Amino acid sequence: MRRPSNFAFSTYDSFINEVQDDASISWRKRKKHFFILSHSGKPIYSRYGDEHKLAGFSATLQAIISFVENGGDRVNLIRAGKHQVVFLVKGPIYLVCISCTEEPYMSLRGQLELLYNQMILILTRSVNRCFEKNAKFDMTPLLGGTDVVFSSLIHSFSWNPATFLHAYTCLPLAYAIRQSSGAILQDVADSGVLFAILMCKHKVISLVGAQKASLHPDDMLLLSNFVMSSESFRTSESFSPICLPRFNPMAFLYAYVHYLDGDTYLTLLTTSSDAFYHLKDCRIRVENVLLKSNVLGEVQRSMVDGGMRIEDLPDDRGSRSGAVSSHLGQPGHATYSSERFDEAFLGVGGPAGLWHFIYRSISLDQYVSSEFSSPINSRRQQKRLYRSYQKIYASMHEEGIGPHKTLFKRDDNYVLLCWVTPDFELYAVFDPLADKALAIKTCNRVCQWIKDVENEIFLLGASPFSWWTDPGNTPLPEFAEISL
Amino acid sequence: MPSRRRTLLKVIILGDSGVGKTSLMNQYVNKKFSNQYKATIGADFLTKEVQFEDRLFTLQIWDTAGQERFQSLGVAFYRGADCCVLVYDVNSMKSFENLNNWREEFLIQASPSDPENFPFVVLGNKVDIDGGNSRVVSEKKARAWCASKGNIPYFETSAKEGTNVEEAFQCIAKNALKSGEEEEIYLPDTLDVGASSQPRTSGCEC
Amino acid sequence: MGCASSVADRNSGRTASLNPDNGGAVDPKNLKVKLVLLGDSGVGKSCIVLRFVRGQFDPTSKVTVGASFLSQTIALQDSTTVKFEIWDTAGQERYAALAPLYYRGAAVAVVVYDITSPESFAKAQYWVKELQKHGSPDIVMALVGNKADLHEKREVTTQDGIDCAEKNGMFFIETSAKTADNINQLFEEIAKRLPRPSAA
Repeated sequence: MRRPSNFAFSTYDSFINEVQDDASISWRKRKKHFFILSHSGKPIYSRYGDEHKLAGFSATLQAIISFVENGGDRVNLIRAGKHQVVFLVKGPIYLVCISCTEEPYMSLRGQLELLYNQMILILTRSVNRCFEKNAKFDMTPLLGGTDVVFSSLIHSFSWNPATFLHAYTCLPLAYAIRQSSGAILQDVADSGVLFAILMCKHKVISLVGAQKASLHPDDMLLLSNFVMSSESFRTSESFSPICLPRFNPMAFLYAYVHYLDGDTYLTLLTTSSDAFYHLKDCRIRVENVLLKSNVLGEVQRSMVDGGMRIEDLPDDRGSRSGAVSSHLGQPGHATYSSERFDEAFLGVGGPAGLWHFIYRSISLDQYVSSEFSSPINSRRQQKRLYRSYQKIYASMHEEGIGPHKTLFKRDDNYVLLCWVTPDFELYAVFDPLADKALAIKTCNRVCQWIKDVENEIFLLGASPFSWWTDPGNTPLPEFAEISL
Repeated sequence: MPSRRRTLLKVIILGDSGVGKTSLMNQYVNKKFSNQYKATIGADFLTKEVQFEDRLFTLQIWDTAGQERFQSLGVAFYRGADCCVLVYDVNSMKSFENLNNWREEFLIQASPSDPENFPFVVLGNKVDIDGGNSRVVSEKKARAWCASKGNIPYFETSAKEGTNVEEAFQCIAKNALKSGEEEEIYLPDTLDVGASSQPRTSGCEC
Repeated sequence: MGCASSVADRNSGRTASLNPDNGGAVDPKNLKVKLVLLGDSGVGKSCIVLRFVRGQFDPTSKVTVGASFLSQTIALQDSTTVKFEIWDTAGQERYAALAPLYYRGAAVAVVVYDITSPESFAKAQYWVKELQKHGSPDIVMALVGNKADLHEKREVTTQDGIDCAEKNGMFFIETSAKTADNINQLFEEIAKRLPRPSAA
């Protein structure tokens, strides 16, 4: 039998138990759930289960939001035992996340923001007008066929650092290769294209914006998620209205999308609704140049070779031509030697117990993370590591704390070392038994290494070196130590 | 498959405390009746799927608390309702007289676009009690009131015996559906050629 | 409110958008035409196009986003060739308001429904009306009942299709992208009906 979902609950259990019969599916067993509903309590999207079967639950959520709103307040978070219920109100659209994953509130809220903006990318914020005219408006038909876009985004919340770093990552490529693809994209952008983006999966090969137009990393994340999760883009070239929420949430742009090979796709964005044939010509020009300069071959090779491996961290400044050399940053090696990186390659961890790192350049809006290496081999370990980064990132970015922060944290699983400066942020993970002084020294080496290979791992702008603060001259400051 | 649209209809049930709102809902949704009175706190929500003219609908029923201390549920609560059900107890004159207040309260709070034609349904409940001997509101009187408010459909029900409950909710669904017919057309804007493309805005809230 | 620009767009009959550039010179032996497919989501528009252009059929449904562009050239018996530049539009409701972008200036419109879905037939009639109001005045229109292989689930009779097509001066055919039944015939028939530029 169905029991009513009562609004007045005292604990999370009663809250959840009251609605358990609302839907036959057992979404409550899931660790994390996302809902989108309208301000009248009508369901719009549900990660698990048929949103219509969850109509009672979505009414409950609206009642909670409205009840608090009536008191002139706003509900952001309900904590109940292990569970957090996070709310985000965006005009007539309400987004809710229920989670027992222990992710920080800031992270979950950020995920709801991305979910909302993914919806705006598909519909623009003009959809609000429908609610203004008619509060009963049912939005679900407008999102027909987009479930896969949302589920793929939600999945990326558990593996893609871009979702919390608000930065994008590049595919490692020889400088000359990236330059030549950048040059042809620039050429195209000068002919009236707003943005020209060449990506391989979620990694950027090159990216060019028309004068003054800049692309927000979140928009890139949402755009690439949309393109990759919509199968039809792979079938043939297409021309579709798309909104970039951080660029202009009110209006559509037009996106010409074309896959150059299985994973590599070119997206050309324009404001002009009749630019298709022009963009098609642009694509042919781009494709010809990429083929001639073997960019696509290099892209494939880079996908196989991977990026920075902690095992390859050079010994010390100046001695990187030694035996333990990296396939990245080798002077005289325009292309990488691939024999060392066969598919069976399994790392053994880096020096001084270094297991993994993420480096984010603030001025470039880009990040680079090392490849997973032993002992971070299994999906479970990778996910745990991801969550640790997410958590430490949130705590480093809590409001009211200035830049230039450092943190040294030791727990059962890792030693975490963070270094946040106005120019960059470094998050490094070590063996839980790693020596502190050695770990700090290793972080300096990582920074130096990144400087040495920056041409290959980042997409550098017109003044590629202006952003760089040499960590060699700025030794790491004292670390606050937190041991758990 | 082509889109088989399922429409969700939001139905709000209003009326004095103890007139049997929750019982009617339980009878309709679960085919169950309990003599025990349990006051609703705040609101309860139930859903039921109905088929009507070859189409499937989900009724999202908002059962509200009749007690005064919960009455100020506010604008947000009634927002976007497709139908409002007013319930009174045929054995209580007060509950009948209050129908007017409930109706007005709803129209003020929900402020529907066309208040004259907003679909209400009135239910006179508890017709089974005492074989109808304790009845104080006559059917004639109730119908007269309904007629004066723009011909509101009227049903006499017994949540206990299930009398007319199904019929009443069929009518509710039908009326709710009617009010939803005028669909909003989604007309997104597009950026025109040469329109000023602002560099990265920080997602301002409008 | 806010919709003024879109409505104006629809009525202004701007012809520039998404039309292949014929470069002014029209070769009567080698025609190039813009064709648009319209219809409810899931009726098989993309399947029809992929069957026609690539001879493929993929039973897994892939929702089209915006519109896909494909082209295919066919040769007719009178030794003329017709190059179809095909806009396969998404059937989702959110794109309905933007459909004029794709059908504006089209020489051919193929309106597709699913013979197992009366709803999709109703939607097809909506598109026919829309085209009559806002499409090119001399547009060649075809009404296509797809999924003809699912005859045991049929809910729209052939006669209903014929009647609707006749009433609106359209060419009617039932197809199956799955079995390839009538797919080539559809495009050949369209090619025959195209107005020929006078050889003068």
